[in-house]
Amino acid sequence: MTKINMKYLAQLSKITLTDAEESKLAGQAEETIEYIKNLNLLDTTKTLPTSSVTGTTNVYRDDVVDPKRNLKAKVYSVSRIM
Amino acid sequence: MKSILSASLVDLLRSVKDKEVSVSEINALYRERSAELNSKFNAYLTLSPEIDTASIQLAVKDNFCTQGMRTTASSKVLDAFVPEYSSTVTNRLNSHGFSLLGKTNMDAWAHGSSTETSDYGPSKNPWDTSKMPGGSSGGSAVAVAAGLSVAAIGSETAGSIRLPASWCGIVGFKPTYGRVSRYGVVAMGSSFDCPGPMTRTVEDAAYLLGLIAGHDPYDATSSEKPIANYQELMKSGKKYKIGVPQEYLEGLPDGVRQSIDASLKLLEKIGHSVKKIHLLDPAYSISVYTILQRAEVSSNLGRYDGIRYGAGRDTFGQEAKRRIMLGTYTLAHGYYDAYYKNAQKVRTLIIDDFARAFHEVDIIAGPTTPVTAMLLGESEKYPFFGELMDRLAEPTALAGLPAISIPCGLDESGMPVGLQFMGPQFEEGRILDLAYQYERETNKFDGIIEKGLSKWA
Repeated sequence: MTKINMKYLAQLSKITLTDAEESKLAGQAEETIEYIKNLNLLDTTKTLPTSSVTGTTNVYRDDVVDPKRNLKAKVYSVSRIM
Repeated sequence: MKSILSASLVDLLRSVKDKEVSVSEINALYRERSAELNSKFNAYLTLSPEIDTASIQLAVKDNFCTQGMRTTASSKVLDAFVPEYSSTVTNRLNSHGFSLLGKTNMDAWAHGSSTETSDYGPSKNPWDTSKMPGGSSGGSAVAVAAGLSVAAIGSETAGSIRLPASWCGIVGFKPTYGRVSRYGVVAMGSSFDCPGPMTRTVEDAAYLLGLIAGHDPYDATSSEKPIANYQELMKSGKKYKIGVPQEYLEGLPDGVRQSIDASLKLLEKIGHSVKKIHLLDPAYSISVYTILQRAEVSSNLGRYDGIRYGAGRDTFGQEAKRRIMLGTYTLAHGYYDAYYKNAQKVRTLIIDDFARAFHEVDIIAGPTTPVTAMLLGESEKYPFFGELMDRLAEPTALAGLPAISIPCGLDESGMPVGLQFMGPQFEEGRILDLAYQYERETNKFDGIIEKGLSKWA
């Protein structure tokens, strides 16, 4: 069974876990990792990965400001940034 | 005309035009029912305070941004979030003369297939309130099934429209990826997410799809292909070659199996050919979907830091944490190739598998879900409940294909069974045509939708 370092992952994800959550989620993550190993049964050595299913490429727009998308109201919920 | 409650959206629009009924009467009925019955079902998180006399009000899942109306995605992180702009889908509904009745409950961040992971409590299945409605668009399904809205908008990443539609006994339509804009929809798995209609008739689904579909410059993944006239295509009456993947029938309980077998016989009786086909085992799709969706979740939820809007990351619920952690793991240095990239490769194999099948047949048919609605509380027992329940929806979601779920029977306990038709990309019209033929031949799904409604009439 793959052992997962939950403390490190929590730090990377900026998530705080209680000790109880840490052991529960670790167990479940390990169970999930065991399951997804079924993909190793398939031969993908000559297969290209898919990230976009509809084949759209190079979607551009003119580099101009669209004033319809300007937000007018107070947009930050914190009182001050730096 | 029939009573307002049992009329479809398209019926109601016709009656309004013929001055048989007013928009105010329609809205008043659904507003009253929603106010009265919501405590039973927890279908809505927010009801519109406005009394609209000009446009019919519809239910919309709470992950669609609605300017001036709270949008939570059922997460306490967004408890007080009131968007500054509206999603393209709700904008399009407005511009076609519809307004908001309310925002419906869902799994928090759409993470789940039960609506039990909502931070605002689960929704209840109108067929049996001790059971879950399915999810993540559970509130929308309940609103339509129990008569708290004539129709609703949901969204699907893999099964989130089809599964609750199946478990609540209504019509759920998941379009091709990119057919409907994702702009202003709280992102879950961005390479999968599809908004779509949840209705009581196939025609309402075709009608609403026509309103919300089409290219949107604000969503770079939306397709530039012109949209079709879905209501017209729905009435083509063509005869199809239908393939039934044997892998989708394995381990079905008797009640589900019998309903599916009877439906396939009926399709043969009305002139379609039905043959057995083979597709990759859905167990592979569960794994690919689990890896890719959680990776996208960990990335999409990275923006919720409480600085610009919403509460801090300590407000995430258990399911969001579970997904973020696993997604971070499979994207991490040293694991990326083994998990994320390999899953993307298997995604290609699944796409190729469907392409091969669609050389043989026009439409693929099978059960929407492996079981009918489960008891409330069951979902927490599984580390990836949603992925298991959605295993018959995940392959098509991974390939970006359109699919529709329609009611096709009731199991031994009287809970609805869903039948799904899946088509090639951008062939929405084809599956609507077959679903409409089925609806007509069974005289409105053997009365299942009406029966669900009548429980709360």
